[in-house]
Amino acid sequence: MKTSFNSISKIILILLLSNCSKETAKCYTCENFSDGYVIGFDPCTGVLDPNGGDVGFLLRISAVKDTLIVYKFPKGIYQFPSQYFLNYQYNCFFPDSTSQNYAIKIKYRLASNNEKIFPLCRGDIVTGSFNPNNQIIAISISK
Amino acid sequence: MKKSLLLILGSAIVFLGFQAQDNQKYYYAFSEKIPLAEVEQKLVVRYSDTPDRNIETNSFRKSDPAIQQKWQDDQTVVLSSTSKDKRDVLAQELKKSVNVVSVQPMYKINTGLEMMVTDEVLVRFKPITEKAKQTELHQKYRSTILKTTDTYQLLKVPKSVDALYVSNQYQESGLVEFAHPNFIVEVEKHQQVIPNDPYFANQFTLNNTGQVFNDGHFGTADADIDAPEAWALTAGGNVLVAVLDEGVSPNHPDLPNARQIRLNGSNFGDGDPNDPSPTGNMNHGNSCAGVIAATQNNNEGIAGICPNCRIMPIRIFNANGTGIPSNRLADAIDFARTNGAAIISNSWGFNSDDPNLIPAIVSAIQTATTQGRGNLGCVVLFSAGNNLVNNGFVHFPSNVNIPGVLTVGASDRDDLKSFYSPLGNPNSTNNQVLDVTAPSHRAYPNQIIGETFEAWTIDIPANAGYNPWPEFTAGTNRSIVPPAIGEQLPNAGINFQSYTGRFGGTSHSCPVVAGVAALMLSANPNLTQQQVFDIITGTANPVGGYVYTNGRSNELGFGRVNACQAVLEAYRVGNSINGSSLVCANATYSLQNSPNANRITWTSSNLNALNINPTSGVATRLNNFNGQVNISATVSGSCGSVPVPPLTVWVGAPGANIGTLIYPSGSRGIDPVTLGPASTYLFQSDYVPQATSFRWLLPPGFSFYSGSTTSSPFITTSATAGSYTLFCAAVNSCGQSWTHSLGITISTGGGCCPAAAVRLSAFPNPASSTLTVTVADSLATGESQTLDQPYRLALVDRLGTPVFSAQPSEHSVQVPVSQLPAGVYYLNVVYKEAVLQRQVFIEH
Repeated sequence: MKTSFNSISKIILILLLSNCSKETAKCYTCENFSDGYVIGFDPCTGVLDPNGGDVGFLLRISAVKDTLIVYKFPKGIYQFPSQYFLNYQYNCFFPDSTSQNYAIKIKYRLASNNEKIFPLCRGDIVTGSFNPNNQIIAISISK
Repeated sequence: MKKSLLLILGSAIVFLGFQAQDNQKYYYAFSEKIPLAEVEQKLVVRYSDTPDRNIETNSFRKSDPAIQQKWQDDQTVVLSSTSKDKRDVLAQELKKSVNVVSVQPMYKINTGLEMMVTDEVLVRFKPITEKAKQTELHQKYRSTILKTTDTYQLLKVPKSVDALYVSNQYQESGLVEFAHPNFIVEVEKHQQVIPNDPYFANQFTLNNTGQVFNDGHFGTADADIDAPEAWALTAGGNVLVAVLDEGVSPNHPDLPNARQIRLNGSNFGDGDPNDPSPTGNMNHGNSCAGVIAATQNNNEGIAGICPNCRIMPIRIFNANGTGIPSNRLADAIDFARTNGAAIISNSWGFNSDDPNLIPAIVSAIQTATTQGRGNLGCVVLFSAGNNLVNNGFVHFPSNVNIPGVLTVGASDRDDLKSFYSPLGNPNSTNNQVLDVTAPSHRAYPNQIIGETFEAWTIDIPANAGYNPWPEFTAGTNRSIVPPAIGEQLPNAGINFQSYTGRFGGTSHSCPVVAGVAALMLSANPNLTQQQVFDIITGTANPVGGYVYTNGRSNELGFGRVNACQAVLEAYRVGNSINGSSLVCANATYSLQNSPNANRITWTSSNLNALNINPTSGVATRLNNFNGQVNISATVSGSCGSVPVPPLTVWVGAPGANIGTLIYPSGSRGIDPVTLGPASTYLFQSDYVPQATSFRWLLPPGFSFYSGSTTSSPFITTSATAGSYTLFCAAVNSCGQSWTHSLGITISTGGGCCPAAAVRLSAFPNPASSTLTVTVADSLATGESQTLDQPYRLALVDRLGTPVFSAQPSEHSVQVPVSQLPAGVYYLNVVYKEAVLQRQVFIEH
């Protein structure tokens, strides 16, 4: 009797865990929409030509708590001052005073592991300021 | 009251004495006056307790903002002011400080040697000086005895009393054998090479003296890689180091093209594929290359770690700083391998902790480590990256699971983990471990306020590069401004802006270790890449006070790399002694992998047999010794010494002796041996070390059938019956040595005189004073004392030189031997047609 009870408990536990997994599983095809701001950049991308289209940008959007990264940011939406990028080796964020200067509306989906980009990076650049796995694919971005 | 009066009087004497001294200072070396001159801009300050250096530094700078300081120990600092006036003002200020017990000028003797005086005096009283007199002198000058040994008393003088003056007063009292200040004198470090490159003084990574940087920071003395100590062993050789990075400037004043291998096809970024030069201000490649191989001792710029090595620049970044596609990176690694790079230095990575992030790159590294450098394997190093959020991670490809790939983190100027250097995690499934660290800057400005890059290297000439730092040209909107460090280096001249003090991160640490590896391969080019890894990690210093489990810490891996110990170990592993295995008179020995002069000490296992000059390796045979000797060599540096496996050599003639037997095959030990007449036998000798040939001396009537100079000749015996003796010498280029002789009896045969009828005896044997030789011929004379005819008698030494000869008729003869040297001799008797031989020994 006791053995049966233990078995049933294990099954219930497994079912509960499975359910949890499903709840946290990411949907890589689901499209989302959010307001947000451009707050910085990936220092391992083309910061020497910051408006040249190769820079990955850091976003803070209302729908997600963590800082996100988007590569292939459309050219021309904003012209970011080049001095924001000068200390890219240790500072990948725009000045605090500009935290709401670069507002965007973004339609996006989460990047799957195969879609994630890990740019080549020099060894004198601090890379720990954001989670490089928090990548999204921008479907459309506008001011 | 009386005591007080004496004290006041004594003080007055001291004071007056101090004032009365003329400008010519001196001290006594026993009774000889040695003049001392002041070094005008320097002060020696002694504190009573260990002061806070930051507070003191600020205090010094109030008097002289450009003052330099060098701490001799916790309580003694040498200050170098910019003028004598400023020095004097500072001296007056310091004398008011409660914690300062002495402020002295820096003195120098006529050779320029600087002698520091503090508040201590060394004296040795004459044996006849009574204790009471000693005490009286101490009281007179208010000296306190700190220590008494068999050699000296160490005294301390009161605050602000001149120890030089007091010591001279002791000497002039006539009560002492010597009295002089307890000088602090820089000991010459012969086992270091300090280059003359002007910016070397800033390269704390290589030689941390606790020097104060321009930004006011200073580190801990010896928190460095011991580069000058390593250079005392070798400045490196022709090792080729590939630097995969942003490219390297051509013809840099500290890295000329002669020491660059700039190949067509080495630019994997955009632009001219045959030009691996950097674009714009992209100085990262220069920075790495300069650390590894900048020219040394050219009175220019910085000193590279392996200043004779060559750099192969390979560009892997585009002009705008973006990286190249993965396949091109794999190609770049292959390019380095296939073009002869021994070391591949990589201060780059990807912001991912996946050790297999890009399989093509993993595969290229694997191939380089196994097939590069003639299958010894390229030494491949990666910076660990600067990711420290939530302990951070070691980025790819630094974390690849490939044996021997070095993952390099950063330590700082105090031998602590640099703020940004990631922590290892041995429980990680992603190979999150550091192998070693090398010094770099402490932290980024946004991590610790006031900190910034502080590693020195080369920069793009006449171009901003990292010089000046962009912050200073772009102004102002940043909240964090790095401290000034001298932004244009130099700020004028033909090499304008060719250097920078603004490099750092694990990017700097990686080429530091690459430079050490290059020195190691210069010392021993046969090391495998795994051996290089093992030596670098095995000789790293476990500093920082961290927990090292199985030798490895999460903070610094196996520790901060030590170039001197790594190079020393490279001289041990696989090294061997070269030189002749045979010494006749003299021979010269050397090491297969030899360090700089005077770094080898040679020794012999038998100094009575073979003397060897300890520094030149020239060996000399002594006492006509024949035998085996071991020659050993030890390579020494200031960081230790290592033995090289000894070489066993043979000294002198071959090793035949009285115990070495010769015999017909199958009859070893039978002496005399009976053989048939006119018969051919295979003879042989016991093994004789170092014999290159043999010399057989055949009795009359014997002849060689074959192999006359070998250890196993065929010999045909005489047809004549009788007793014979066979001799044999082993020969090499140094000479010959004799085996035991062999008596041979030919049992039957023709001839006039059966040998068996003639007997030869020698008694006693061994003999010391007289040898009685008896020849008996029973056919001719029976027992008579006279033979039918005289016989020829000769006693010869082992080289065949007669030492006694006669032609007696008496059957018994007394041969005097007391004057002969002890040894082996041979008695030869020719009687009628019989030849008789006996081996005899002379002993004393």
